[in-house]
Amino acid sequence: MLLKIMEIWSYVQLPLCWLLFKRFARRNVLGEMIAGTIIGIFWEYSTEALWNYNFSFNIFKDIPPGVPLGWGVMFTLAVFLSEKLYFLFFSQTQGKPRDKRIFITDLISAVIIGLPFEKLGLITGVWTYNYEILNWSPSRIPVFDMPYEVMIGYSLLMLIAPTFVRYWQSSFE
Amino acid sequence: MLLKFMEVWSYLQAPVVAYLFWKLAKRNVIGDLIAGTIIGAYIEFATEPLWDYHFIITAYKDIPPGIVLGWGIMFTTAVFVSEKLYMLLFKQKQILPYDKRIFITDVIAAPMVGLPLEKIGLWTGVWDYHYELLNWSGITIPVFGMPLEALVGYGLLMMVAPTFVRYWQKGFEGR
Repeated sequence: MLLKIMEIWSYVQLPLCWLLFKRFARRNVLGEMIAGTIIGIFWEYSTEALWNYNFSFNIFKDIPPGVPLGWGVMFTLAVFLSEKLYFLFFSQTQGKPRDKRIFITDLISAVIIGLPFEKLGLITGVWTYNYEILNWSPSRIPVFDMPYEVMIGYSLLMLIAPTFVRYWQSSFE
Repeated sequence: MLLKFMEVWSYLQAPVVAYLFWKLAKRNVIGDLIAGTIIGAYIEFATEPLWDYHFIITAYKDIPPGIVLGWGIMFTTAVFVSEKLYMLLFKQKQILPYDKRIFITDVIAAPMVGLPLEKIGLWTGVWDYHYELLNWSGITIPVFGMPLEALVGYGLLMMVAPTFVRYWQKGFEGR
């Protein structure tokens, strides 16, 4: 039953997230969502063998459409948070082009946004890791109780992907 | 012996490529190489269980530093080829900001640059695929004789990664 709710939610989250951003932040995040979903498609396709998804409707092997769409929501939130942290930490009112300090806030927001999402997916059984293939170390992240490799993976991804989201967001709208 | 040569080459290729671009194209590609290498570090870390590498010096599990550097070369060359194709096909003198047609030439540049490099790596035994884990379709690309999924993967990667290279290339050169 919980898995069914999560499957429905995986599609509902997109318009809901867009609406909430529009209502409370006066921001159109359609471009961020499209850019984030493109990254999600690449990511899920290239790492398909490493995890299992448990939804009933899939597009490629066991990958459900709701998962790449979820990356769209994740990147929208992470890029938004990173931007706010950047303003706060570096006393800026808008992002300076090619300011490398944005990597710092991107990494922080990866942990703040990405890890709870990842944990939620695991707890609710949306996905499971293929531990026997991944061969990860037994070290766990405190509080989240998740493998360290997840955090490193998120951090490396967040070094690269937000540039794509920020660069193309307006254009995709 | 060939593998030893390839391992040495994996470290030499970055300065050689930077020099050749500087000499022949009058272009500083240090920023492209750095940006491409960062992407390489991410790709190799994230997909580590899916391939085996056979070099002696490794940085994380069986991933050699030379492979990560190789992604820097791949992206430098692919971004360069894509830019030339863009200017040729769309009759422009430079890439117009936010012009989505760049996705077309990026995806074309992926097989032109990525697949030959991928094929060389396989032939020379630098890496092999874990076919039993990948569970690919068995369909191969004509001429290259490589799995179709390698082409699709390169295509998707080239949708996303070149933006990072183009955006940060000057920043990483301190310009």
